[in-house]
Amino acid sequence: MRRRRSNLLQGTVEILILQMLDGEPIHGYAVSQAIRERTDGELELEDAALYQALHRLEGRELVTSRWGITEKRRRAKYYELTDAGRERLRTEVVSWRRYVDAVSKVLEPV
Amino acid sequence: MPSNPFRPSKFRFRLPFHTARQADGDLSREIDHHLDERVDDLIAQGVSESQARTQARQEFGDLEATRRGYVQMSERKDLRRRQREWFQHLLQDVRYAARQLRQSPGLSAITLTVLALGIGANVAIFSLVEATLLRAPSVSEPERLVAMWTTCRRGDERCSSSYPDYLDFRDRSRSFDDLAAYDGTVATLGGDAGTTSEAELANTVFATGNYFDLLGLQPVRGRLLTPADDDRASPMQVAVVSYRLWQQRFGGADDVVGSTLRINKAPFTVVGVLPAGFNGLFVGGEPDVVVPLLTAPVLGESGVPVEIFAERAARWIDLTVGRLAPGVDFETARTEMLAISEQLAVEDPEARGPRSVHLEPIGRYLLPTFGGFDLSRFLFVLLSVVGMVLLLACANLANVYLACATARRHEMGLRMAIGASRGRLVRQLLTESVVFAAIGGVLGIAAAALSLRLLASPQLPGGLTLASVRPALDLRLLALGCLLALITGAAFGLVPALRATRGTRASLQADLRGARSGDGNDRLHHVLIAAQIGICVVLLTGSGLFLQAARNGLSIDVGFATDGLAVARFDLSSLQYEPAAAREFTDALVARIEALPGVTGASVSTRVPVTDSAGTATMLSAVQGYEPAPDEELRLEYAHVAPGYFEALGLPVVRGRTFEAADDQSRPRAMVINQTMARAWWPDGNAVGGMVTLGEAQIEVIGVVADAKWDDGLRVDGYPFGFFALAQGSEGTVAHQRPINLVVRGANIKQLLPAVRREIQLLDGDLALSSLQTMGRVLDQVLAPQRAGAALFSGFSLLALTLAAVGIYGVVSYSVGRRTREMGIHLALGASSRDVVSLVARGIVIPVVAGLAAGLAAALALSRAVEGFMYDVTPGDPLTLAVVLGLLALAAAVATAIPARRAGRVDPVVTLAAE
Repeated sequence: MRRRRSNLLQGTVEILILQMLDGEPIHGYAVSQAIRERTDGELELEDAALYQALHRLEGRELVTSRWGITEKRRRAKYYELTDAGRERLRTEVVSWRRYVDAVSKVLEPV
Repeated sequence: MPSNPFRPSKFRFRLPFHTARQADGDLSREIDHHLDERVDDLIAQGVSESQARTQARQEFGDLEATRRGYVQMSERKDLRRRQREWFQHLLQDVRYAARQLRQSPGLSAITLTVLALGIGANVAIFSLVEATLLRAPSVSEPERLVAMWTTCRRGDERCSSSYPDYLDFRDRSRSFDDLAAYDGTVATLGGDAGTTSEAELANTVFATGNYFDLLGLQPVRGRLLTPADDDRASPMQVAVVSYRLWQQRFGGADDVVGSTLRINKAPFTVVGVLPAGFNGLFVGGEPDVVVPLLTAPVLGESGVPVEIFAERAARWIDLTVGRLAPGVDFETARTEMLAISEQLAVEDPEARGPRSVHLEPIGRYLLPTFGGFDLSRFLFVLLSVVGMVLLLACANLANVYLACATARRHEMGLRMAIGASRGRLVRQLLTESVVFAAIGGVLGIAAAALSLRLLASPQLPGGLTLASVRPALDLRLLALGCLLALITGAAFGLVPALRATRGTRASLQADLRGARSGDGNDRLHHVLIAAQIGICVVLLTGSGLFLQAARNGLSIDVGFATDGLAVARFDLSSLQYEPAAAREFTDALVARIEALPGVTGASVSTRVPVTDSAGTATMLSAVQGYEPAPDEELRLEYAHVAPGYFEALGLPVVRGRTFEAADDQSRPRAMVINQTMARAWWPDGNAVGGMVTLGEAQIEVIGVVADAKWDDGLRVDGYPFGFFALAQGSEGTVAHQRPINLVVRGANIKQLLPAVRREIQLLDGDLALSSLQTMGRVLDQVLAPQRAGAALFSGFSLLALTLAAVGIYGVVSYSVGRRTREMGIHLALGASSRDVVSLVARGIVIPVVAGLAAGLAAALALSRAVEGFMYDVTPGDPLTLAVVLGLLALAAAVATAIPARRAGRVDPVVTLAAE
């Protein structure tokens, strides 16, 4: 198996996806590629989990979707942040940083 | 690998079909795209196409879970979308309604007025019903409380109980946790340091020490009464005051506990304050002060000494209240009490006699009895009136909207043509009528609240005021108002909405050509007209009867001259007057008042006609020269009067003479009798000079006076009535006769009232006058229910008549407008304009006649319900019915004639050319 099973927490997956969508609308495959590239393959996300998270976010109206045509002339679903999604991303990033700082402080040698 | 991860499964049942299919398609397309991209990448990395496909599919992971998640999301989204849409449509419809409201302000104003009146009247009357008939006393577990009182021999008449009776019932019964006794009176509070110190009359309750414990009440200050306060050997002079009295007389001060309250001049120590919500057990019977039952003699209650607690024959206790023991039901308790009553009758036949007991559950406030007046029946009549008015309003508005809706078929047809569904249009029209009804409802509730506030003065019979029964528009009543508005809106809006949207584009085209001459709407219009006429008949008949009753009540011969007469009632015994002092007081008072300029007569007595709610009766042991039938009782009502009483009252002396100052203890006892008594026991007409035996005493009849109406309901006709001289009674004194009535006669009696009041205050400042008023005002109060009934019925039936007439006018003129072309043809073919007028009029005759007949039947059936407060009026009174039918027929004729004449003037050339 080339890929490891992902042990990412659900909340973490969602914040990553929100971050990826902060910009131009992109489709699901592009999100998975982007995550892989930005983490140099360190974090890998199973495709099914990615799509489930996307749909969850859409259900909570943090993202919206619409059909579009890709460069390869294929029909694909494009996702985009809603205002609520952008707001959520902002607060999630702040609290994630705080969390990481706190954990780092504990882990740092005294 | 599952055969098809997108196979349709149960979610098809949860989503609309197209949504489910679309969800499946969307998801599979999205995942297909993902897989294609991945396969492209893998092929670019050198993997073979078939292998790339397998790998991409394997990498993807759990398809089924993804599908489930997607379906869930779609459902949620879909629901949200539909909710949003529904709300948008609602907003849109409300906007349409607002536009409609603005477009026809006249129609809107009428609609809203009709609705506000209909809904407001219902809410107001229902709040009254709630406050009087449906509300439970604010005590703990009122459903386990039972009221018990003694009944005398005839029927269910309410009598008093004696203290030994109470003790026996309490000690012998097993059905009750406890029994408390209770008696109410009006006492004078006065002259206390630290208070406003003005004398005032207060509803005072004597209660056994266990009373509050039994009711489960908690004090807001201090403590309530305990059995220790009500000790037989040494009752404590302590009092519990109501929350209202605490606030008003003591200013809500914390140091009220321990202060002294003088009740009928006797000092009582205030030990506690009752909770604000406690309003007694009777409708409108808020107690101000509660004191131990055994202190009754201290307050001069009944002017009777302490022995009343030992005498079974001394009946003075109003009510016994019991709390059912756990697991015991009302019937068991009732059976047990009746059995105890029978035991007592066997043990002490002389004192108990034929008396029995009546029990009643206290799930609701008890209704006081006012001279046989039935409050619940009165309220039932009021409720039916307002209910009918609302029904009529619905019928009327339905008719109006039916006509409007038909006129709006173009609009509906156009909207349907551009894609609106019929359901959507019905919803729009319904929203419109409900919005109207809601606005009408809000106006109505506001009107109800306002009228309840404004009508706080005496309105109900028996001295009940709206203020004392505390009607309140609480949440339940607001809910009722909203519910009424909703139902009303749906009732008058639904059928027109269905009618307006019925049919297809074809019928729309037909409409545009104006070709259709008649449709099912005509029949519906006619049914609604008939309904309105019917309701009108009922209301008009009712108001006719009430008007007649009120007029009969006014013209009723009470037997004495009511003009120029004033009465005042006060209670000397409660102010600790000794008999001699009381006598001196009344003599002085009468002398002073007689001396006032303008006064032509003044006297005192124990009873005054019309004002009596509780009579006093006694039994003669013999009438000389009269042989009573075996079962006949020589029972008579009696009063003690001072000299000059009959003259001041204006009660004609028929024969003999009346009392004079010389008729005192030194002379043989004498009595004056009324005509009924004279006729009954001296059939030969020689009453004057006759002798009767009362107890041991021989009494001579010295005069005969006219009959009068004594009871405060004006219903009871002549019964034997005897008058004794105050100065001669076997009791011999004034003080034991309570209360005392002062009667004053003068030409300009209203202007004399302040002077009379001043004289009384000069003689005793502690005397709080319970009632100084003209006889005219007393009669007004007695006739209040008839007046209120007449006013309400007349007002509402006038409204009903107007509505029905407008309704008929609207329908006829609408149908004339629609049939103009038909009329034109008739005229062109040679019909005279009279023929056309009668053609139009004929159409309306059948519904009007049907309505009259149905209304007549209903009126006859319903009018039995109001018989109770009618004076000499028969429910089927032909004159009333004739007037009502005539009035309605006239209204219908006028409402038809105007548009029918217009039809007769149609110009055939113009009409036909317009085609």
